[in-house]
Amino acid sequence: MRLFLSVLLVTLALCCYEANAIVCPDIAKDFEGFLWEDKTAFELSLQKYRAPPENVQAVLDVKTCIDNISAEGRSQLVAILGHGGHRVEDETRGELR
Amino acid sequence: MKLLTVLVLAALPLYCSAGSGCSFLEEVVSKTINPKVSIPEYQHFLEPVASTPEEQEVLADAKECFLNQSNETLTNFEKMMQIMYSSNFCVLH
Repeated sequence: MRLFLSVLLVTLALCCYEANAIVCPDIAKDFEGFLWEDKTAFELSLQKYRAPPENVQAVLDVKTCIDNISAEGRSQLVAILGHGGHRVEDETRGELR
Repeated sequence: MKLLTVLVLAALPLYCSAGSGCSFLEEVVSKTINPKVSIPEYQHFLEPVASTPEEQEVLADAKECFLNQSNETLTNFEKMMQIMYSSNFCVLH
């Protein structure tokens, strides 16, 4: 029993500790695609999630508006999201409120 | 007892690793989608990482894209985010 509890506590500490803000690579890629990619290509990249069509369409609907933001603006949005991840690493437990 | 230990050890990493891997990013997405979060609130929240006038303006533009959507679209957008966070592509990350 003691061994079980010890292993459980160590595992919890290792697995649930958010050492940094390493974004799941596929999420990061798809977020960038949302901002940068051509709508058709982006829609294709979302197919891997096998999501209901209405969920995918919702993302595409918003993307229609996002695509009207200048390239420079979208570049800034990518940078902001990237800085946010690093900022969490730098801050002590990253309270950005 | 041994079986229980093995099962718990197997389940914990999967449970703990589910998600985008970045709680900040998830919070940003949440505030982006939430229609109750105004543009000024949104800009203020992101000010630590977007403080220049140009950055603040582009945040306003992006947030406005979401505020202009119907509640149905926002709900479906949120569902898509959850699907992505809980997908095998991220659970195994």
